[in-house]
Amino acid sequence: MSSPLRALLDPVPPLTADMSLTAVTERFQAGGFERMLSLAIVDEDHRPIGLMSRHALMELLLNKYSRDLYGKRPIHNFMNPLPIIVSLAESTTKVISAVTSQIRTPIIEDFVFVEVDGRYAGLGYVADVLKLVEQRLGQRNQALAHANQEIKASQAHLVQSEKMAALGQMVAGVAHEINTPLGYVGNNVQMAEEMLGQIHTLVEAYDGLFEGLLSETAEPHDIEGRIQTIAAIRQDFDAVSDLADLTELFNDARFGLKQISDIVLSLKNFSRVDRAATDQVDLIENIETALTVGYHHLKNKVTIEKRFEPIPRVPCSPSQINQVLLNVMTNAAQAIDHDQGKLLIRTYTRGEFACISIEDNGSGIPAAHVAHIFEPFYTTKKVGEGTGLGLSISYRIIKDHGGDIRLATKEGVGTRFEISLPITSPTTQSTPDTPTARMPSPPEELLTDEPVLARSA
Amino acid sequence: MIDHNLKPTLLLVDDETRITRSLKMLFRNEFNVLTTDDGHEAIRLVQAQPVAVVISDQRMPMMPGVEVLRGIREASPHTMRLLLTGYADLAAVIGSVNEGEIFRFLQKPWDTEQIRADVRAAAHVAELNFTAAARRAQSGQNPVMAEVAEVPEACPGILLLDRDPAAYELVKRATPPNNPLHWARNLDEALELLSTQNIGVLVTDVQDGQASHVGAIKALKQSHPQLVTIVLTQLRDYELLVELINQGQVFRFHPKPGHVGTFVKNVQSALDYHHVLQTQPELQKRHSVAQSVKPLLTGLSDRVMGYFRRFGVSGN
Ligand SMILES: Nc1ncnc2c1ncn2[C@@H]1O[C@H](COP(=O)(O)OP(=O)(O)OP(=O)(O)O)[C@@H](O)[C@H]1O
Ligand SMILES: [Mg+2]
Repeated sequence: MSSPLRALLDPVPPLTADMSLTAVTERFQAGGFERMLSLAIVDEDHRPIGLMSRHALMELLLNKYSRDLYGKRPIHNFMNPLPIIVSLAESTTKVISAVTSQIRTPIIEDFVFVEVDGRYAGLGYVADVLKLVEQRLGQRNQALAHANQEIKASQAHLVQSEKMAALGQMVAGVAHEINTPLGYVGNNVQMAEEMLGQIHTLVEAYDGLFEGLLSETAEPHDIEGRIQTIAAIRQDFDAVSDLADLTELFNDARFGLKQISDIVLSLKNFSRVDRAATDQVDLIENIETALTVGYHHLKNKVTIEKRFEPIPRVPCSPSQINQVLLNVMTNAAQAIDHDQGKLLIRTYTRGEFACISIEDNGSGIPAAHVAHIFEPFYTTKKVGEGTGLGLSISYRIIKDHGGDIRLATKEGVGTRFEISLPITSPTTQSTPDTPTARMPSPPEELLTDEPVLARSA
Repeated sequence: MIDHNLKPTLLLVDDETRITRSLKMLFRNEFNVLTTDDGHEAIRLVQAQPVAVVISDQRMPMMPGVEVLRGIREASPHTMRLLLTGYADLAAVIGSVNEGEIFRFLQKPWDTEQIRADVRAAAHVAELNFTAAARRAQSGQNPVMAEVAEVPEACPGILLLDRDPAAYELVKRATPPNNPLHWARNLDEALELLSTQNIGVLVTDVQDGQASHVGAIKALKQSHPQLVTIVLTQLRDYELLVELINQGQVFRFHPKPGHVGTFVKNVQSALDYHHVLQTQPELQKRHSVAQSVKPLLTGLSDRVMGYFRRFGVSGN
């Protein structure tokens, strides 16, 4: 049996139905149950049949003659025959809801507890129940606060794991980007080394011949031998043309090393810990960085057109903005399933906002899907290919910057995402983060200022 | 048929010209090297002339490497195919074995000595393949019959190493009526059967409970170079597969349970391949690249001495 209920129970002895009004009045006056507002009346089987409150009794007795008139009459004539009755077998929650739903104000009565078998057990003080409710609400509040905290933490975790997933994808691509130059640079160095060995042998042989020719004592067959040696070496190794090739090997190696260092530099830029929470950032620089890092996704599929109007620096976290840009570019590239892929990247200012627009001529998004794409885990990609977190995280990041991310799309034509960031500090003019703000603006709004790229253009 | 006095042809397919340039320089002494950055072009090239070996990149704009290699396999089945990639997913590895029937899976950056050895080995096998094909073509309309007559014991056994009864059922269905099927539940039984029976094709899982067969598959390929291995497994492990391709020369990778029809075909081509290895063992010894033997310059010293004397550089 639930102990919190037992704690509420006061086993005050009940009245019997045939007790007279006078006797009941005396019981009230005798006291011993001061916390209680009323006394219960039970039948022969000890089942509660009603409740007589102090308050009702007073009202009766206030009438000058009622004690004389009614004093002898049994109490069941005056009692409340429909008191609140709860069973000790019930759960605390049930009891609370039974009591609070039947409560009458002002509170002049208690409620009756019965045992499992329905026999009278005692009385309960309504105020105690209210206290219990309050206590429970407090607990629930705490739980809510806790849950809230957990949601926040797991949101941070989501951001992190999306970052890791993006990173994993990126590492795969970057590995390819770096391994290719590493392949030929390593091979060229190895070949150069081998060639150097051959050059060494050849120069030694030439030297030998030269010594021989200068020597007074050298026999003709000795010279002949040395010439044969040179001829044999030359057989395998054409010094003149091979040395020309060597120059080319070194040129390529230098190019490869430059490429590797560019990739490493942009990785460093991409993941750099922001100096301040918000720097004054050149977004165009960010776009270039994201393009370098995301190059492997893009280069084989799309031609990239940049139309950059100068935009002022904006206060933002560059690594987060990079994450957003990479997400949106990757999505665009993934949406293209033909070999005429185009990506148009533009920058411009609109009012107080610096804007980046990324436009693809990919599949477009069916109208029914548009409302969902910012939801976490919404993806149309194959299992293992997309987490569906990209845009929800991007959305979060841009909103946290006081900016906005919107799109226009037409099935079979393409999609344009527009990211806008406030030019001045976002703290003063944060856009509301309500579900309606999540809804992307209808395609027409963006489509009107410039049509989406035609696929075959 | 390849003219053995000519260098064999090596085709390089990569969208990064610095890769093809670098590799071309590495191989031009031993091979006649062709290069392209376009998979379609690569397929045309192997149709136009006998190409012994092709090395293709995986990630390319027009056509991924696995598709290029599949196309080449169809156009010129005797060309040995190698995939060279900076990064590949599991699907590419499996595809490269089963569809591309690759000889080696190479990773960028590569080891110069290793790639030399691999390409030479590939050229060697290619020569073997081209020769066998030419022979078949010479011996009449029905090459299979002709060869059976040539080698009477041409029905080698198939050995299954896997305790899974479902695998046995699958292999049984794929085994031609004349080829005996042996079933080994563990490695010891397999080794016993290999030493007493004429086994041509090994079908095996890579794992048996905790025990791994990877080492055994590699060792067996070394001790029984004519054994053709089909790996039949549920396991999907990139590194393991690459290892099995390169060191175990796994011929096919068949996922469990997989498609029966495909498996039947796999077993048949494994038997065919074994037959080539079996019937022309002398080819295995021969190296594909012959050193050219031009006569060295003769009577030079007099000419040279005369030349120098005219300038009064040396003595009288
Ligand atoms: N440029 C686009 N063209 C067409 N569809 C798009 C485009 N951008 C997003 N989508 C759609 O929106 C969905 C959600 O995108 P989101 O970036 O959130 O997840 P994802 O790309 O599927 O997975 P992840 O980003 O984790 O790899 C995508 O699966 C795709 O259907
Ligand atoms: Mg995405």
